[in-house]
Amino acid sequence: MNKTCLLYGLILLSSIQSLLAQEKSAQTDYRYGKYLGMAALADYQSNRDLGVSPLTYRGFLFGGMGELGFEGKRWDIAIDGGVGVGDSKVKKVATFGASSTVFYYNGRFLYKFWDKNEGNLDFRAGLQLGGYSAQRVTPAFLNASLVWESINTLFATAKVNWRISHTQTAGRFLFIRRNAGVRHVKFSSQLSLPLLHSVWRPDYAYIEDFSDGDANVYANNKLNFGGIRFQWRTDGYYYLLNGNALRLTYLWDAQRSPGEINRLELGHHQLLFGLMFRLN
Amino acid sequence: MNQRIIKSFSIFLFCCLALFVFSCEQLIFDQEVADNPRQNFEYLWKECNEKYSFFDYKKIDWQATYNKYSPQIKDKMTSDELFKVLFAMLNELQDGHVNLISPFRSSRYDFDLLGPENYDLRVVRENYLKNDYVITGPFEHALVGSDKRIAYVRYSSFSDKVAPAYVNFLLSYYRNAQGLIFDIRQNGGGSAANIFKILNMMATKKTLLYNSYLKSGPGKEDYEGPQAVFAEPDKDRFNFTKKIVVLIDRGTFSAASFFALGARELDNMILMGDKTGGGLGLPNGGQLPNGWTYRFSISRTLSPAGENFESGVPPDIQVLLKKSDRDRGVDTVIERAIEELKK
Repeated sequence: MNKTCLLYGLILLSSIQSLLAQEKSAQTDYRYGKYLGMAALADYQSNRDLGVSPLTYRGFLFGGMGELGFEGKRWDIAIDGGVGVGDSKVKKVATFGASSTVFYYNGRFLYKFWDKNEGNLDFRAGLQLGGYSAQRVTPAFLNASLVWESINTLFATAKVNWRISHTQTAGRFLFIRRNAGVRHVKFSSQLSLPLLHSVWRPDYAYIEDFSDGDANVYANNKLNFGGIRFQWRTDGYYYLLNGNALRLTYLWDAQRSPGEINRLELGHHQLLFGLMFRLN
Repeated sequence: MNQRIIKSFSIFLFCCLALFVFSCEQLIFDQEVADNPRQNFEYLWKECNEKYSFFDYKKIDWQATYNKYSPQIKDKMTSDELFKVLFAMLNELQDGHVNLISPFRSSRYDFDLLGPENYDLRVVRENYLKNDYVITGPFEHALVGSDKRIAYVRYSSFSDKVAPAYVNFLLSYYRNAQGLIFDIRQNGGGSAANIFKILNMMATKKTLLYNSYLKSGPGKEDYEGPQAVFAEPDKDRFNFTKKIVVLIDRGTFSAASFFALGARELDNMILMGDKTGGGLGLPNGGQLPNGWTYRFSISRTLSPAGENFESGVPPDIQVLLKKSDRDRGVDTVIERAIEELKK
C-alpha cells in the first residue's frame, strides 16, 4: 500500500512540475511526435476460473503503466507495460478472497488509411499484440490455490483520432498559471478484435505441490489457442504548451480462454491517468 | 457546420462502441450457476465424476451414488442438511484427501481408524526419547535399546520444514550406531518437498521411487504421465551405511505415505509396522456455487512395479502394538525394529 501511495505521489509531483513549466511556444503541432508516458492505473477486474470455481471474483487492482510511443502523420507505434496489484472477492464467500498481481504489456503498429479536415479526423488500422501475465492466490481453492497464467493475443486494431485546437487566453486555474497559446486536445477510440488468442495456464486439473516435491506452479501449465478476446480503449489528451500532455484512458478488455472444464473468463475495466512526456 | 457533424458522429460512434463492448462481456462471461441445493449437489457430483482418480481402483459406482443421494436433495433444505448429504456422498469415496469445508463445519474421512492404533506418544516420550533427547529442526531423536546402540528419530509431520543439513547432521551424529529407526507413525503428511530432502540424504544410489499420473480429462482413463520420480543421493550427504527401519501405521498418510512408498524401493530401508493410511492421490481444490470449498484426489501414484497402494502402503515386516506391551511402557514396534537392526 505504501508503495502504491509513493507511486501516486511521484506521478502527482511530476504532473505539477509539467503544469508549471508551460513556457514554450506553441508553434509546433505537439500532437505528433515521440513520447514517454507514465500513468497511474486503477483496474476493476472480474475473473472466473471454471477449473476450480463457478464463482466470479471481482475487485480493484492498483498500479502503474509506462508507454513509449511514436505518433506520426502516418504511423502510430507504441509499446507499453505495467503492473497492477490488488484483491478480489465473492460476496457470498465471507472467509476468503483472492489476491492478484497482473503484468500488462502491449505493442501496436497502426497505419493511417483515411483522414479528413487536414488530419483532424483520421482512421488508422493495423496489428496489436496484447498480453497480460498474472499470479492469482485464492486460499479457498486449497491445493490449487496458486496459479500463474499468461494470456497473449494478436489483434486486428482500428483506431479513430479526433483532434481539436483552440486559442487560449492567459489566466489562472487554482495555483496553476495558464499561458496564452494554441491549445490542442485529442480524443481517440480504438477497438481490437482477436486474430490469434492464446492462453498458457493450468490444464484440466492442477495442484501446486506435486509428488516429485517440486513446487513448480508452471509444471501443469499448457499453451492453448482459441477462445476469444476483445479490447476497447478510449483516450482523451490535453496537450500542454510545452509539448507534454495529460492523458485519461479508459480500457475494457475481456477474454474467454479455450476449453470448457478449465475455462478462464476475465474482464478488466481500466482507468489510467498520466502524463506523456514529449521526447523530440 | 462540418465540425458539428463530426462531433455528433463521434459521440454517436462512441455510444455504439460502448454498447457493443458491454454486450460482448455478456457473451464472454457465461451466466453464473444458480446457488440452490440441487445445483450445488449436481455441481459437486459432476466435478467428482470428471476428475476423481480412484473410481475404478476402489470399485465405486458413482452413478449409483448419485441415485442414492439425489432424492435426499430438497429445494427448501437448510445449509446444515445440505452439508450432511454432500458429506455423506463424498465419504463414499473413502479417501482422506476428500474434504468439504463450509463456514460452519468441515467434513473428513477418518482413514486412521481403519486399523488398530499402532503408536502411543506417551510410551515413546517416557521410555524411548526420555529426558535427554535432542531436537534438530523438526526431528526429535535419541539413542535407544538396552545398550544405546540404535538411533531413534521421530518425525511427526511432513508439514514441518526439513533442511537437508538437519538430515545430514542426524546421519553423521549417529555414525557409530548399529542402525537407525525413522518413525513416521501418525504422520499425516504435509509438503512432498520434504520427502526428497530426507530421501536424497539417505539413498545410496539414484533410485526410481514411483510414477505419478495426473488426471487430464473427464474419461476414466484420461491420465497424463507417467512422471517418474527419483531419489538422487545428495553429493554433500554423510554416507550412512547402516540399515534404516521406517515405522509406519494407518495414521501415516499423504506425503508420509509417499515417503513410505519411496522407502520400499531403497535397498537400505525396511518398512515396519502396519500399512499406511494411503493418500497417494494428490488433491486439488475447488468451490461450489454456494462458496463452500471441496477437495479430492486428481492424481494416482504407482510403484515402479505398477502397484497401486492408494489404500495403504504395506510394511515389509508387519508388527502391531500389543496392548500388554503398551500397558508396561513398551513399544512393540520399536522393540522389533531394534531387534531387526541388531541382526
